[in-house]
Amino acid sequence: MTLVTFIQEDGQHIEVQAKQGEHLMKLALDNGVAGITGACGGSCMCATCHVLVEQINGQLDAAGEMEVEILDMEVDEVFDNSRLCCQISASAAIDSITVRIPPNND
Amino acid sequence: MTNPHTTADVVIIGAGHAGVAAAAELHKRDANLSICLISNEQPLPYHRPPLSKKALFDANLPLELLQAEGFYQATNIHLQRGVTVTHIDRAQRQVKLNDGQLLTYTQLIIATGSSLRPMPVAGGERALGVYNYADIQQLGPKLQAADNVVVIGGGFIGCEIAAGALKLGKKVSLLVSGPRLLRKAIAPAMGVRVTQLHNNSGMHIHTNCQVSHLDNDGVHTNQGLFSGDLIIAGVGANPSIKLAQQAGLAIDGGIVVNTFGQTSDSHIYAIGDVASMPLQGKVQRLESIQNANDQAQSVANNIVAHRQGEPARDYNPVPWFWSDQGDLKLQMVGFNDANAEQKILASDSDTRMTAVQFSKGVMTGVDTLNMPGNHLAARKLLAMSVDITWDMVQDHNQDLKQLFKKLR
Repeated sequence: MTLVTFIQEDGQHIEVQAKQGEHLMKLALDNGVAGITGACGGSCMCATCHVLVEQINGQLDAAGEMEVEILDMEVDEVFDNSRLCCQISASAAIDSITVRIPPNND
Repeated sequence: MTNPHTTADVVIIGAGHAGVAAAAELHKRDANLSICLISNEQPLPYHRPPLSKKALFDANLPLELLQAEGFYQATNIHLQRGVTVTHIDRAQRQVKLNDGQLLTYTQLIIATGSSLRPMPVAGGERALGVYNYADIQQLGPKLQAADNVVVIGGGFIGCEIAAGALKLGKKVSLLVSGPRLLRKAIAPAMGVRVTQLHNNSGMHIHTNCQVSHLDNDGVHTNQGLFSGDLIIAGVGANPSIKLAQQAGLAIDGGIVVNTFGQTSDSHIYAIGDVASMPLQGKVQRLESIQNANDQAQSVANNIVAHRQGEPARDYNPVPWFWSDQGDLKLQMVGFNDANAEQKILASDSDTRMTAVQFSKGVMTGVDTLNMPGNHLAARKLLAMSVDITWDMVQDHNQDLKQLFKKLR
C-alpha cells in the first residue's frame, strides 16, 4: 500500500491508501479530488491531471518522453516537480507521496 | 409497482462518453435541472478507449470510470443501469423503458452510440468483436489462453488488438483488405510506416486480403486459409439509430442534427457517434471521444441557454483522435482531405513521424506518430484563426511546438 495525499487548491488534504498498480489520476477521481479531470482516461493525451509532487518517500520513476512533451505543450507553467498523475502508480517502491493540485488545472 | 411515471427536465438515452459528459455539463450549468441518464449496461459508465488499448490484455486492470460513483448521488443526475429504452413518443414527450417505466421529458438527448458492425460474410459471427466491457470480459480470458490469433481488419481497433496480442507473446496474423494499415484514417506515408513497424515487430500482416467466409477451419480468404485458436474482427461500427428511426426523426447516415445539435424535432438532440451533422460542406458523423465530449458540452450549453431564453451557439469542432498500438501512439487532428498535399516533417527516428496536410496551401490536418507535442501544438494551431502555411512551418525548424509558441 502507498499512502497518497492530495492537496487541493483550497488547501484541503485528502489522504488515500492506494493498492499497488493503481494510478493517482484514478484515485483522485474516485475520491472526488477537486481540479483533476482526467479527460482522456489515463491515455497520456491531455494534461487535465497535472500535479506537483511535493514530497515522496520512496522511488518514483522519472517522467517519460511523451509525458514531458505533453506537459510542455499543455501546461502554462511547468515546474521541476510537474507530473501527469495518470502516469504515477502506487508501488511497493513508494511508501508515501504527496501531490499538490495547481490552480486552474482544467 | 407497474408503469411508474416520472418527469425529468432532461432525459439522456445512453451513458457512454457523450451521455455522461452531457449530464455533467448540464448539472454544472444548472444544478437544479433534473436529469435522467439511461444506461443499457450494468457497470458504472466508463472510458471506452482503454478497452482495446489496455484492458483486453490485462484482466487485473480496473474499469476507468467516467465519474466516480459518488458523483451521481451528489447530483440531480438519476443514473439507471441495465435498462433500455423501447420507444420514444414525441407527441407525449415520453420515453418508455423495457421495465415498464415512463419518463416524461422537456428535452431529450439521444446518445445511443454505435454497435459493432457484423462481418458481412457467411460465418462472420465466428469472429468476436470488442465494443463494451462485456466483450472484454468474454474475450480477455480467451486471448490469454490462445497461442495463435487471427485479427480481421486493418483499422484502428484491428491494429490495437493485434499489437496488444503480439505484446502478450501470441502469434498474430492481421488480415487487411487494403494495401496498407489505416488506409482511410491517416496520411499514406504514415500508414506505410506503421505497417512496416508492426511488421518488424513480428506481426504477420496480410494486405489486399479479402475474406470470403469463416467456418470450423478458420478464415477463408483470397490468400488461403488462416486458422487460429481465436478469431477477432474489428471491421467498424454502425450508429445505433433504431429508436430515432422508429420515432420518425430525419436520418442521413446517423440522426440528422443542425449546428446546435437539434434533430428534426426541436425538443430532441442527438450527440456523439449517432449524430450526422453539417461539417465542411457535407453531412457527416464523427466517431471519437473528442466529438462525444465536445458535442455533449455544446448541446448541454444550448439546452441551458434555451431554458434561460438565450441564443444557441454553433458547434465548430476541431476533430482529433488517438490510437495506442503496442509502442506506437498515433494522434490525428483535423479533417481528412483526399486531395490535400502531404508534407512529412523532419524527425530524429523511424518511430517518430509527423505528417502535415495542406489544403489549397493551408494546414488542415496533422497526423503524428509518437510525437504528442506536435499533436497538441497542431490542435491549438488549428483552433486559432490564423492560416498556417508550409513556409511558416519551415521557418520554425519544422517544429509545430515552436510555431505555436511563437504565434500564441
